[in-house]
Amino acid sequence: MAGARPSDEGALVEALRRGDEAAFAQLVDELNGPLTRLALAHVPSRAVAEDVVGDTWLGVIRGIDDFEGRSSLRTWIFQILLNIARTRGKREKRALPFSSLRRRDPEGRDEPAVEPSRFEGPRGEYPGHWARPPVEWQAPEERLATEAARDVMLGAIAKLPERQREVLTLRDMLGYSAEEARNALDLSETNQRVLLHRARSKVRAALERYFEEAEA
Amino acid sequence: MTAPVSEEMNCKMFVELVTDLIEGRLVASVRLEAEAHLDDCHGCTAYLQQMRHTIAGLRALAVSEDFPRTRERAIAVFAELRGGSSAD
Repeated sequence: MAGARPSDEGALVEALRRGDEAAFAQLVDELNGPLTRLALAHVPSRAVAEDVVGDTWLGVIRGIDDFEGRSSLRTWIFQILLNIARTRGKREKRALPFSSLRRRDPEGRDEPAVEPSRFEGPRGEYPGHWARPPVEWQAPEERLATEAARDVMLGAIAKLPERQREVLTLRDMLGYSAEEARNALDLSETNQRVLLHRARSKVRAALERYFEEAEA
Repeated sequence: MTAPVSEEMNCKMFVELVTDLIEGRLVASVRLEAEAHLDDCHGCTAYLQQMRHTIAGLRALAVSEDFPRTRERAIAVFAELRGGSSAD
């Protein structure tokens, strides 16, 4: 994981500056997968994501002498990637099927986690309680591992606004802690949680539909 | 999201607190209310379960992903542009 190790960070930066290939290889081993995953949150294909990651490493190699340590090294690398991926993502947007699905509020503060129609209205017997409650999923572990469920999740992720997609990628797909994700994405604690909450809620809703259809 | 709630907890409120509950970020009084609500509410118990399964499903999506092509290329570029000292 993107463990913040401030004490060795100075030594690592020095090693990179003097051309220590083993130190660089270790950094690549740590971050290459996460960077590619995060690039995939912006661009439509693995090939393009790999280009973005390649350009990111090139930016790191060329820029390490100018790295000023105002953020952590890993945050700096993630910011290089995000700049390239966001630019590239905009260029490729026409190729993305979800380009028209822009939300009014990119951070989704005004989006409910669950369709309001699932709850009883103010005149119901129990206002704010489930009108159509969720039910337990049957054999969730096996079913979530199927190709069909993976497609449902990837489809839901593809429809997320970009910041939500970034947070979900780091937190849930890559298992980063809240702090690691905040640092990588340069987000406040509150925004990190709101984005994660909206993103997860939407993936859950998509999976719920999938389970309901399969059981119907 | 973590502001104490004055009205009695209902399901519509619970689903907005669920991430903070899972993250352990609820203030104690709200956490107790949420837990008390869960004791009485099958729907929200199922909802919390679904959320946990969703997180596990997302995690499983990304494991076993490997990107050897970019790894080798990055290391080759480093060696070409800056290489010289190797620490082995």
